[in-house]
Amino acid sequence: MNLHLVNRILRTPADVARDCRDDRDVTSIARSALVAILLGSLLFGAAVGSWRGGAQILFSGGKLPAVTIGTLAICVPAFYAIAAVFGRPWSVRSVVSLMLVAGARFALVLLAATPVVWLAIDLGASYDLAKLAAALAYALGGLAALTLLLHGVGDGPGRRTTIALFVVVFLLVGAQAAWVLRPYLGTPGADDVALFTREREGGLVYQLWKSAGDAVRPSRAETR
Amino acid sequence: MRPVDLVVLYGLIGVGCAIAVLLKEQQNGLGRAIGSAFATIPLWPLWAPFVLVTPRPAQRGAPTGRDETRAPRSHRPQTERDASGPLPRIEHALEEAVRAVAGSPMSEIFSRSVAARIAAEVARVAERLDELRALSETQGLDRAASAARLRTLESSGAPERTVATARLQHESLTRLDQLRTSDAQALEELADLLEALRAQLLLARYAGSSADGTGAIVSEVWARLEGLGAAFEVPRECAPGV
Repeated sequence: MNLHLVNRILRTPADVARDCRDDRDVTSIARSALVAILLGSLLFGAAVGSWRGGAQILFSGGKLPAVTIGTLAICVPAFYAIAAVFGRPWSVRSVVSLMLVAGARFALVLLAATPVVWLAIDLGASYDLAKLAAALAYALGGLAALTLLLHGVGDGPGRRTTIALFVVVFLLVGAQAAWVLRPYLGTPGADDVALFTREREGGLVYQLWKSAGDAVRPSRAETR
Repeated sequence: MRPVDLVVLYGLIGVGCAIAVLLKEQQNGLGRAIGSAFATIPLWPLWAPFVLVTPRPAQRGAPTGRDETRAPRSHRPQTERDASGPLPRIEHALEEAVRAVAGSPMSEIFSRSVAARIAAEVARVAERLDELRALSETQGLDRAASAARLRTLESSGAPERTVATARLQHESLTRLDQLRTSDAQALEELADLLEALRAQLLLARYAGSSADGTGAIVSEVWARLEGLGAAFEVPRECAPGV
């Protein structure tokens, strides 16, 4: 991993985003970004999995890089098309490298948050607190990645729409990928460690819709 | 389609891409090609475009909608990090030099750790240059503005103390500007030197010629880096006196 590039991703995201857009030395950028994504999400996943301990550390450490890489891979065609439609006919290399450096920035923030999350869990954080800490780290990472994407998209017509569509697509795909590969912390009250959840609960959007319905009409939830 | 089918299909495409990568990357060394091919199997949607797609020259300076690319590139300040600037040249030269000596006795003279140390030192210097450039763009630290103010004060017959303060300000900014210019130049020279080192190592590897000059060039590189480091120490030491 090129530490100089990692430093640039964190400190001068606009420069790195410009290099990606201009297809300048993107192979080296992509290589380092991929390593950063794998390393950052693996260690963060392992820290999250330490709430349950044992095999869950390995499972979460393996699943989180899969979620991040999988989400990026699935989003590539959509990002390419959205950018082209809104006046940014970039090459595939430019789009992929831009997404990878955004992902690397996200993963580096997760890496920075790993000791805090691990310490909180080690000090006996409850399930909800650990979940909240992980969600906060994810939100921080997402904001860091979004900053880089804003630089990458640049000014000009369709900027807001391009960014908004990028974010919506990424959130939907990322959340669904994470949902499919859950659990990461482990199931509260259950002693066994499972690689995937055995419950068939439908997709994330369906679950959110159901929860929202239950919140509006509590009587409906009670009858179930 | 079941998840298992999807995984199998994904893997099959990955293997296909890996074979293509292996064939294409062989010219860069078998070890590198195998590593790249293995990485391609699980990561093909994100890695294959970089290995299999050759960039077209037209892709340079891709549009961002309407923003800064509309302005002529020459109007943007040239920095060390620009494609034609010394930093990418240095990184590229170091990478190629390390690859050239890999597995040969010369790797003791120019190891990956030596290259990493040089890269770290160059990154530190470049960072300081960025800081100096950012400083020069800060309001109140503009050399042209300070020169104009000094001229105005001198021509308007302002009190000597006011003129002396403005002169001191202008001299300090001029010194900062000179420091930045000379060190940017030194970084350029360092890039030239490392490119010469890379060429010498490649020649020694492929033509079997002597690498006698290599040690001297490496020493020269370190001397230049020390010189750059020393130049940057000056303002820090002078600061309390100013």
